[in-house]
Amino acid sequence: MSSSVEIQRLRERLSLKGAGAGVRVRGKENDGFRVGMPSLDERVGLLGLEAVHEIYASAGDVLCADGMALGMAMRASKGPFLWAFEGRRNGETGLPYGPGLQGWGLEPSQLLLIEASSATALLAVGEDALRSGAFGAVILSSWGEHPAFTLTASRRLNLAASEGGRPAFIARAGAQPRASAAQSRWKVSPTLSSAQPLSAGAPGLPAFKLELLRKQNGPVAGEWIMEWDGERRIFVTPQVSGRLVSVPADRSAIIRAA
Amino acid sequence: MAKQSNALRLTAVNRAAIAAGLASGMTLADAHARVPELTTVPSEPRADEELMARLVDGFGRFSPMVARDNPHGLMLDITGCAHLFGGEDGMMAAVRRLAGRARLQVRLAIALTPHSARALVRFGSEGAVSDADIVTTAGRLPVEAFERPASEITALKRAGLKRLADVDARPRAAMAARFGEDFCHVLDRTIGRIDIRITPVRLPAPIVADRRLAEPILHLDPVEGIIADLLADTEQQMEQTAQGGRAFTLTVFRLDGWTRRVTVRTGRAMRQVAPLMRLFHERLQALDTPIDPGFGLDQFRMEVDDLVTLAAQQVRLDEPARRGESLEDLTDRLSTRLGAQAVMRVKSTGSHLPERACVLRPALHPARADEGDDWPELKRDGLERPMTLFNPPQPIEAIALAPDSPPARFVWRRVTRRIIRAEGPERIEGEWWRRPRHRVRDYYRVEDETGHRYWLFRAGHYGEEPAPRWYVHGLFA
Repeated sequence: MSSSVEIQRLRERLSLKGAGAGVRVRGKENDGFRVGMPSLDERVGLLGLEAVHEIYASAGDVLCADGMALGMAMRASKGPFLWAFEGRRNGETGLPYGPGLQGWGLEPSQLLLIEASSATALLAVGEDALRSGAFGAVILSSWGEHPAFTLTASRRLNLAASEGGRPAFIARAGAQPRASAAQSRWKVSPTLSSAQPLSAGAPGLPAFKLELLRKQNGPVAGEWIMEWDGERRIFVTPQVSGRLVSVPADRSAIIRAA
Repeated sequence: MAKQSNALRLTAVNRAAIAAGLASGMTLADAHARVPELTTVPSEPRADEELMARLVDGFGRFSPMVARDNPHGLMLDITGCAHLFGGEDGMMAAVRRLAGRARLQVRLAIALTPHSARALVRFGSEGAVSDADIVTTAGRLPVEAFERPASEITALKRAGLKRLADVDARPRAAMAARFGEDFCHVLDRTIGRIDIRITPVRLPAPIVADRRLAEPILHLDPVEGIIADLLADTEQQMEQTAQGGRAFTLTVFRLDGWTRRVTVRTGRAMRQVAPLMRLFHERLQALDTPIDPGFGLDQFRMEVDDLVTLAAQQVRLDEPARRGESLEDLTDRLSTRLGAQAVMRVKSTGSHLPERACVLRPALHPARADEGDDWPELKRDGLERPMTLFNPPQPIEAIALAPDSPPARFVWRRVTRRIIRAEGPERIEGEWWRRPRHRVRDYYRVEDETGHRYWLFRAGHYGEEPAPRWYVHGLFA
């Protein structure tokens, strides 16, 4: 076959990898995970398994970020999981609760919890856990801004993720999104769940507004309303029931129409 | 000097004072009369006790088995330890040097049994007595060495028995009849016939390795190398007995008698050097106050405790630094670095009371019989639980329209939240056998207009006295 076709194939494979500096070409073409919601997956494509993914949220939405990070981790791996969080936030959020984790779809026996005394300790734990490859995925929850989250720190995490071959999901509530070596960067906030027709007034599946801020070698941005189904461990499109239909907010379309 | 029976008396005197004719128990007035230029300080029994405790640690370098020999003495069982110091004479010299650095005046005696050693050091001359000579040498001690009541001592002297050997020569039956059954036992003990085990202040661990440095070190750089050396020694010992340990304690001894202990605990029994070295490295980095070498560290001891049987393992010549580290090793390492409390597993207790249903148990702690991994099938029953729980539940102000309905809004942390979706009540009774006055709770899963979800409960019913109170118990993601 011609070399230009080969180059095109290589390009496609590289674009799917999104490995950042130091591209590693691997045998399998579909090396990544999907969030599970069709409209998001079509637009965003595969998310890297040896990469760092950041999820930002405002200070009042700590658990929202955690839930999203845990959900994505479950999409990426079957476990075991390490969830490290900053002890400072316990007064604000409470401590992780087994029955609730189980309801989210996690198997509590597959979880190791770490309470870190500072953001620096949190990042160190994340690095060690990633590099060992002992966990299916590593989830780190920080709280607020901290000078430890530098570009260098994120590069180190990235390196640890590729060495161990495992993904990291960093939930950063109360911090402003900033440049980092993460493969994907998101912002999440909670949104009202769908009304349940059969159980009057009860809350529906947990619903989120997820915004893609950046993905390496991928689409520039997007916005989705989605729900997390803990039983099937997948993100789903909300059922339409007297609410706006969720479509990806395609900003390019708006610009073109203007 | 201290106040005793209404007069100031001397409680302790040094060698120079003894030479000048002073003795403990003498009144201060008498003492001043004999030695006008006497200097005294008030006695501080508490400080003395603290000093003794430090000395137990400091002199523990000579033997892991150290006991207090009241009031101001130490008894060390040096069986098998003397070779480390070049024999008994070398050990005595080292003890004197340490005492000198600690500015203590000491008398030393080495003997076959603890009681004979005590008698020799208090009533005889200093030095080491060989096992063969013990009875003869101890026999030369005065009868005061028995440390019996004064009346007995006087009686013995009046009977013409001035030395232990004299008493030993008398028929036992007569001695027992006059002074009691246990007198013969005391005699045999003091003269060196009966050996008893001392009760050490700290039980020495089953596996011990010591390293004594010819030149004390002033920096901490060589310490890790020494630890590796000690761990190789303990590994060899444990291989002999096919055991592994779960508690490894390093003691560093400083020239001036100061000691410091650093312990590493592991989840599973181990004896291999490389993983233990990593754990010690973590622990040393994470110390709150680093080890202070002072004028020099000259001895190191490794003790291994909590031993269990461990089968022989393959020798691993290349231990890769962390890639492919197993989950157990990583858990050990992180527990060592952050503290066992910071690394937790999520365990179920089977209790139906929400705050007792789940326990975050440190990963290194042994599993408890009442905790496991079986979680009740709540989802099947349509019951949901929050991702996090507050302990204690946080009080809120809430307004509910009807007795059993969820609140329409509530105030928490000074923010009013309007409830749009709600489910409940789920009634959870208290564990009446524990807290009889625990009020019944009605739980509601609610969602406010922003999509935040809370687990609220009302303790007590409307119409009761006292009025029911509302709380937020946990948050949903």
